[in-house]
Amino acid sequence: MGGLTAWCVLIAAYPAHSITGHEQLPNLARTLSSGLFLVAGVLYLARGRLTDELRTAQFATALLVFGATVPAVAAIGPLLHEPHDMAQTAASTRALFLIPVFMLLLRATSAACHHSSVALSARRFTLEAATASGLGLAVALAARRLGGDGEGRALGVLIAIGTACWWLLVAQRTSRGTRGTTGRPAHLATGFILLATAELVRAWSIAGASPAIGVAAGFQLAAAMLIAYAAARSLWRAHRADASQSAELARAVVHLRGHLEELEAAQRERLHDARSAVVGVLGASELLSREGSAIAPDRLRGLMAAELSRLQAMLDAHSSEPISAFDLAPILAPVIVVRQLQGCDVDSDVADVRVVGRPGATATVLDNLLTNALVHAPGARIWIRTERLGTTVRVVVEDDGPGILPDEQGRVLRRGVRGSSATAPGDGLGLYTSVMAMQAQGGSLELDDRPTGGTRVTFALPEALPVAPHALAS
Amino acid sequence: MPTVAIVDDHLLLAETLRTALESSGVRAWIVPPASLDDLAEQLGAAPVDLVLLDLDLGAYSSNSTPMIGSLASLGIRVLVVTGSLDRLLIASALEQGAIGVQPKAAGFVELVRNTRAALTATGPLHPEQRAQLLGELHRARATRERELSPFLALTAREAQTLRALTAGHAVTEIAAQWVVSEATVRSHVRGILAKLGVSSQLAAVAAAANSGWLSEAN
Repeated sequence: MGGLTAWCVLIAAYPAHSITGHEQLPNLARTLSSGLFLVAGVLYLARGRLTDELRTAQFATALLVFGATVPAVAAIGPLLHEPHDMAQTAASTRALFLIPVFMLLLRATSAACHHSSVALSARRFTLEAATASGLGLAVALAARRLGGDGEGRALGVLIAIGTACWWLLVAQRTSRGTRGTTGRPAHLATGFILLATAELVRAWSIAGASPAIGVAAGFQLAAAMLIAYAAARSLWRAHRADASQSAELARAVVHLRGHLEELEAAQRERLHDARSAVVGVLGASELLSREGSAIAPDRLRGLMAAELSRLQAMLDAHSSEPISAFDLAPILAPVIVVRQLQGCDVDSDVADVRVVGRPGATATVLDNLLTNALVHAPGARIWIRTERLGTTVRVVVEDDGPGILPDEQGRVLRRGVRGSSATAPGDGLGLYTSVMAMQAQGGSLELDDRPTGGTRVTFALPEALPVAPHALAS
Repeated sequence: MPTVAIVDDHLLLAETLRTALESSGVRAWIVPPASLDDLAEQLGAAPVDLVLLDLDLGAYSSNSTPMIGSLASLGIRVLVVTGSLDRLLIASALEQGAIGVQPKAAGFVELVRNTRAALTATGPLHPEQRAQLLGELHRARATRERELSPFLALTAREAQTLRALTAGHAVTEIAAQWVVSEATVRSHVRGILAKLGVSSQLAAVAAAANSGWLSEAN
């Protein structure tokens, strides 16, 4: 606004000094503003490239055409034997200014008709540009037909069309602004108002007031400055947003990659486990078919059952296993037997109870707990017992190892956390996955100290209701 | 009577293998899985001719290759028995001094036969195959070094910047966190882009993740 005021003062002061300056100053303003429109166009083009928005690129194109029209008209004028002064340019040449204005108007209406989230296709982009150019040229031809006596009337019509277009653009801008669908500043709307005013002032200049030519050029320059400023600001904002988006994307890339690596490692481990189980079972069947094998059949059968249930647990994801009533003892027995065979000191007293849950997942939880005890409390004695508490059955697993510090007990149940004093290898997932597996089947898992030293893990499942006698009868 | 030690966390496999070996006149001994140091100590103290070593010992160690070197230096022959088909893992086991590799996928009968073959001087692995595997390993290492070399050119501060970028921090955040000017961090970023030969921060982050530099450095 300051620039505009300074310009008005300059115009008011100038004619008093020199008549040539009076003509040159508006021309200078026009050259400057066309340069600024070109700059704004380039900036918006850059923004369009940064954000991949074709709509912004379209806006940029219109600004570039607008900026290029002043030199284009200056170049065409002499060819058409017109005086080299913008103020006296023929109506037909002036009509070229309407091409970018029509482009802006078409863009605004098509954006309003189609929801703004609908991306503009490259085909539509060309179509709208061609339509605007066609309309502009048609107006130019019409103005040329009118030429001669009708020149003044043609100019009047052109100015009326131009003013109407700018005001329509202003209306569209402000309505978008109030709807809050776009964060664009009001600078553009103000710029359009200034351009509309410039058109009106130009009409006044045609009526004969010569200082008005300079004032119109001043308004145009102010509008160009505002629009260039809006362009720079919008490019800067898009750049900032792009940087933070890049950071977000970087985080996602690294996270995804880590996740994939984890999945791959888990997959490798599963394959390895599955192959070992298969070869073991093949070996066992080979031994069973031999006469007088050195291994006790009972032992072999126990090992096979344990290995096969491990394989089954691996194949059935915990979540897909149906929840059902099952006898606890026969499900836990293979897990316990295999540890005893491995030479662990496991003392087991599992009551004959029926519970509701996932048998495979429950066996895996006990296996995880025993592995934990084996790794973190090597050589410790382990006791497994069951107790009834109301309608739940609790399986208590205790060891006389070094135990877990009280303030760490809550922590080790979380994903990927291991005790600070843990020296043995482990990924810190065993307890966490066990808690998850128990909760997913309507149970729970808790960790505390064994009163006489060591760790105590308790997991609970609801007891299965006994089948009523009359249900059996019917 | 030759003695074979079986180190495997799959008890059924170990037990059946032991029985099969013993019935063919080989003394076999199952070593329950433990930490690598304990295992090396246990095996080193026992009169063992051959160790059948599983590369994945479940909860104890997901890669037992480091132990092969210490066993080999004690003059114990190590035959790697693995369910993994990762050729580079197998090759690095050979490089550590394993006399051969027996994939579990080959089946039980093959496993018993090759264990017996490993007790003889020649061993089960054809020298040509061995050379081929080791060649693959060296080529893979060379490729890896080539991929990592641009990252080695980074200064300490540039490496820190790249790590912060991969953690999802923008330049302004990094500058605020380190109490330096944004221009300083930007100059680090320019250095990173130039050294890695990429044109955007995103490309640099992707290169860091893809080359494995990230996991290597942490």
